[in-house]
Amino acid sequence: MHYQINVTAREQTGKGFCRKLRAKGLMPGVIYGHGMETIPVSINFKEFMDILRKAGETSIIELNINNKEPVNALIKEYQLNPIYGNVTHVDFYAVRADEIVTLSIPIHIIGDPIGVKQNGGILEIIMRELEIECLPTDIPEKLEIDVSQMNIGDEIVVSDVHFSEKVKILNKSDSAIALVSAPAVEEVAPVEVAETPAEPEVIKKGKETQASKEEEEE
Amino acid sequence: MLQPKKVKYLKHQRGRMKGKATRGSTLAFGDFGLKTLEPFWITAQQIEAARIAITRHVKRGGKIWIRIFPDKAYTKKPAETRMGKGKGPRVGYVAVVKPGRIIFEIGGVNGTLAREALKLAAYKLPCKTSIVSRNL
Repeated sequence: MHYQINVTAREQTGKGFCRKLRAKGLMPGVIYGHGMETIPVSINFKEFMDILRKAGETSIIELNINNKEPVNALIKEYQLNPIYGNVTHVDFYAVRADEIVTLSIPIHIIGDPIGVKQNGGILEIIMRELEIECLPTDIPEKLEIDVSQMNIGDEIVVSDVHFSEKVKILNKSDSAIALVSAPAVEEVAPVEVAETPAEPEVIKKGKETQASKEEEEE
Repeated sequence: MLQPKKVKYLKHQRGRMKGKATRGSTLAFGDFGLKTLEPFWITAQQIEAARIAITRHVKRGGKIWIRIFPDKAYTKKPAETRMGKGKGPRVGYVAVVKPGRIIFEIGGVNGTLAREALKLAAYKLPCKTSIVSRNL
């Protein structure tokens, strides 16, 4: 799919200026890539969020910088506000058609495992992104993994995933992606005993001083 | 209850809780999480109460992750004690959290159940919280 967004090159940088941008409904960003100069830009926040939701980090986006020649780029990274979770800054990575890129693609889990439906197991998703290396034209949008046939004790590892020859997986082949584990044993409420929890051990260092001895006695 | 196995020093200075959480502010394991919106000391007892609230509501299935650990000892002077005579004895352990910190994560259960469980857990905590999911 083809995505397009208008961005404006900005000359000013710094947190004060970026805060003013955000107050206007814009968002600071930056474009960089191999063999090009870094360009600080500002983007319309709503337009960017639309693109981010649709394209994610795996689709090439055409950036129109001040109505000049467009730049093809990937969303390399975005920063989130730790409290409210909104995007505060974005990094675009300009790609070349003949240069290999390294990126992470999202893993989508499909179906309900037999082990969960029938035997009450727990589906554990260990890996949510897979790191790959390929040309920009060969980037798979996502990786879909069907877990419906998994039973308790089964796991899917990276070596079970297959792409075309053009895509190279960088994760270790024996890394687990998803597994179905046995249901956790329900906790039996312990009989209430009025006892204080064990005191933590103090790591001793060098000579024992009089003060530390006193403290221990306390 | 959670507490350190080994400590280097028995008592800590109280410190300040300036700023926002720079680490542990995004979901790392589960699909839903409970995020704190205020800086607070969360005691080991509060963490345990919240954990029990979640496990009891979820019953079977699902997995819970506790993303904070109470590693700071806190002290209190005994009742009816005059000032001075040194710092009081330790009475427990707390985790220092700043706004944005994820306290609990839950995965392997449907969204409605996860949200209900986290809401019950939030009642056990001293700070304002919000429930977060992986969707942007």
